Amino acid sequence: MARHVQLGLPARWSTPAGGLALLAIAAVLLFLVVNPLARLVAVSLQDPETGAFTFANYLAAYGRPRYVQALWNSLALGGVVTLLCLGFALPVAWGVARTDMPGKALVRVAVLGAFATPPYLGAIGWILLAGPNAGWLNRVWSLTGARAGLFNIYSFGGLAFIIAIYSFSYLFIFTTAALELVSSEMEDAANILGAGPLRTALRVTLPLALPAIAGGAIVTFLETIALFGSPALIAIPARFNVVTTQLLQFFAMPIRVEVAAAYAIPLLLITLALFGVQRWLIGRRGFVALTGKGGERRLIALGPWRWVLFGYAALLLCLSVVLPYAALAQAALARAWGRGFSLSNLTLDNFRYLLFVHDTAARSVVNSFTFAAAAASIALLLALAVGYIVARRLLPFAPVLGFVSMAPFVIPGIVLAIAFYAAYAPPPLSLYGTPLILILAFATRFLPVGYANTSAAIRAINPEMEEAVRILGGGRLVAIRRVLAPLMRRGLAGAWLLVFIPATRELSTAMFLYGPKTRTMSVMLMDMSEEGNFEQLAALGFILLIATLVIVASAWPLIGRDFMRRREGA
Amino acid sequence: MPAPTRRSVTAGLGALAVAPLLPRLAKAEQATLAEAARKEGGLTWYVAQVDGETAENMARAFTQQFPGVKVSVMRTTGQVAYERLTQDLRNNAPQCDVFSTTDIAHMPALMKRNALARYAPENAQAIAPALKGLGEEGFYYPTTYTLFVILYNSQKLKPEEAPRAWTDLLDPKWKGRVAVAHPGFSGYMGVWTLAMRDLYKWDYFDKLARNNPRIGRSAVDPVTLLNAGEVLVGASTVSNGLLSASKGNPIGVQYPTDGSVVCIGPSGVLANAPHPNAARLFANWLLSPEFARIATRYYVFPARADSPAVPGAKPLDSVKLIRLTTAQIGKGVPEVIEQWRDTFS
Repeated sequence: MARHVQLGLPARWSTPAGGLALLAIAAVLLFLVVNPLARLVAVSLQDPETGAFTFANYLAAYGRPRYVQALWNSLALGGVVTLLCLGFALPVAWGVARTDMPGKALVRVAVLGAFATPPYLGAIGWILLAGPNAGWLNRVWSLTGARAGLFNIYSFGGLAFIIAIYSFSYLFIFTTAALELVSSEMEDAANILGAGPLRTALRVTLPLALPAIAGGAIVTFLETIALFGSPALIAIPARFNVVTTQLLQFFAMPIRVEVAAAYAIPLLLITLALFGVQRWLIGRRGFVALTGKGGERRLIALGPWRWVLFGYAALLLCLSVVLPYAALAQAALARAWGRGFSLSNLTLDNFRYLLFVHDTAARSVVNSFTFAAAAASIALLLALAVGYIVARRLLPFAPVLGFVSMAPFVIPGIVLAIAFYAAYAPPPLSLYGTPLILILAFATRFLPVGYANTSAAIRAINPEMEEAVRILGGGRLVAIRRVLAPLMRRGLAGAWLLVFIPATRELSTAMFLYGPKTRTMSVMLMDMSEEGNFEQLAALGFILLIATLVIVASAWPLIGRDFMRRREGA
Repeated sequence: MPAPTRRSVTAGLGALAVAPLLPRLAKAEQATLAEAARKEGGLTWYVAQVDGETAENMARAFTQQFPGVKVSVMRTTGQVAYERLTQDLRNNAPQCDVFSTTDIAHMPALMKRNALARYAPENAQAIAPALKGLGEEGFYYPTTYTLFVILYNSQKLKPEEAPRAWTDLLDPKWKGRVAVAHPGFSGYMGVWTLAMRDLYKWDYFDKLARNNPRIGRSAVDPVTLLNAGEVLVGASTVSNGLLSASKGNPIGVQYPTDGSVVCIGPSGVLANAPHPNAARLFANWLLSPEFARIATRYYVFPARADSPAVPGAKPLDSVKLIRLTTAQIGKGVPEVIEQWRDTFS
């Protein structure tokens, strides 16, 4: 019997009901993932008027030097950001994983803080800090008598810096995970042969973690070229374009969805290719030291140098968390942020205005959280169904469903949005301007996160427990409802939050799909930045963060208590 | 001339007889309109003519006057508002009831695709004579206007240090300290850009580019940068400048010697408006004495002839003005947006 199941040919589910379930789930995945992408490709190859096959859209998209320049800018930006992130993340990751650097817990929490900050919010904080003349850092600098400011955030370098400061966490996480597996024996060997700690780290330890570092670097690169918010805030005033801001221009008058589609395809291809490289790198197991087997792991004593390393980590975290949040808090609580810190300038009015007076802003808060909750629920239900079928091999072709569920991971948010727009905004579905199109797009965008987490949770549960129900005469649905679901509740709540939180702040998808009544907070923030209204902008950013924190904090004990109860019952 | 038929004569006589009754009839009409609007519950207003906060305040004033008719405000720049509207139309998903743009050429373009409702607000007769010809009778009307002028940070510059003419913004001493909006976003900015091109050719912007201006999106943005001390001089509307100064910000207004650019803000009801009655009630209100009072309180010039003066603004007859026709704007603004993107990106 067990053998039968493993072959993926379970006779008991080759029933009409099983076939129907497969069809239903396949149809949903087709609708959410396959069809929008197919439409994207189709639209890019069609004449918008006649529908005839043409390459004219590609010529229009890449026929002007300005448009090609935007692509180069994106690639250059991705490269510079990746280099910066390597410089930020590697020393700190090595310090945390391999040395006796102090304050490790603090560093980890702060990295999490940088990770959890929406990049566009961080960018606004940095506009307040490093605006060329009035930014706080430049004002301090001007006390030295300098006429020109020290930093100009409105530049290519400025943009690369603020993106890097919020995306180095990928590399940090990838690298620490790998470094923690390296055994000390190799380092000892290097030491015995006369190499100092630095030489050992550079020549032995880090090369051992190279596949993980390369994987992290690729993710950083791809995140950067797909980013919309920070470039819109920085690159427009700095007077250069990247792929994502250029895509938005194709949505300006006259709207050219077909050109936008054609322009987006290379972005998709680059992403696909690099993810292929990344999988190959991570999948290679040529590094014997990383088998995870045995080996003693000791922390390297750095002596006084450990304080230097800690200082570097602290500086980094000041730049990504402490300083920008201080600037945002000052603006959020100020009548006019330019007037600086004084009691007469202090007010809670921005918050009151946004929540109780400004109709549209209050609605955007509600929209963000309801859309995110709906999207998280849909993504999770779907992920659960696919994950269960794949894990228990209930149906033939189940692995294909799993593959399709993971596919949106390699689609940049902005490309997904354009694909959804092309597929579902116009009739017959006419989802344009409805909450549904946003919810479905969010659900699709974060489906891989949900799938990766739920399928891990399902795999952790031994099928024997369900088999017991079945032996006792319960159907599979009873087994799922009464056994599997309670066992997985904690894991599912965690997975739900992991989809919910990024969905509350998603910008690049929302930007192309919102309507007048479906503006989310992220879109609202961008609209407010158009008017340069930083006080209310900052306040709205804090509302977003505080609301997220409250939801996470209130969900945590719920998950925890559940967990406790289960133990008592056992 | 065709011979008068009996029907046309009767109609003419009828109109004559009814004329004295018009105000009373209008009042009754307004009451039924208000009642129908209340049943619809509210309307959506796409607006670019004022900043977000002012738009919300105006919307609240309307609801106070007509309880039960809520206005949901969608404030963004003129070009973005028009893009949204065009997408609504393309996807046959009407959202907008009243459209108040900053690029008057949007209106004839909308008429061409039959997107504007035929509606002649009763208050339209009160529009100032100078503005009367600017709308299209029965479709859209100017509801507000303002002037594009030079603004400066009055804390850091004395009035005599401020630029006097648009050409003064090209002075290298403002390098990195001059702010403008983006014609690809702001409608009024597009009108100003076109006016400058007419006066000085595109050369003006090639020179401006050398001064490395700070480019925002909305025309409100330069005011924010001035307040913060980020820049010292900028181009924006006199309304934005006076409103900000009234809040205690250090903003000075300079009417350029080579001409303040007149910016007309028209409004119209959409043909497929989801709330047709509320839309008409609101469109009529935009030309009412009540709106005129509120608009001037926020330093926006209302279209009515009998509007109170905008406090702190120079009388128009003492200012050198540059006017562009709707046809010029319709042809020229898309061109300057492209030129702008080539020069500044």
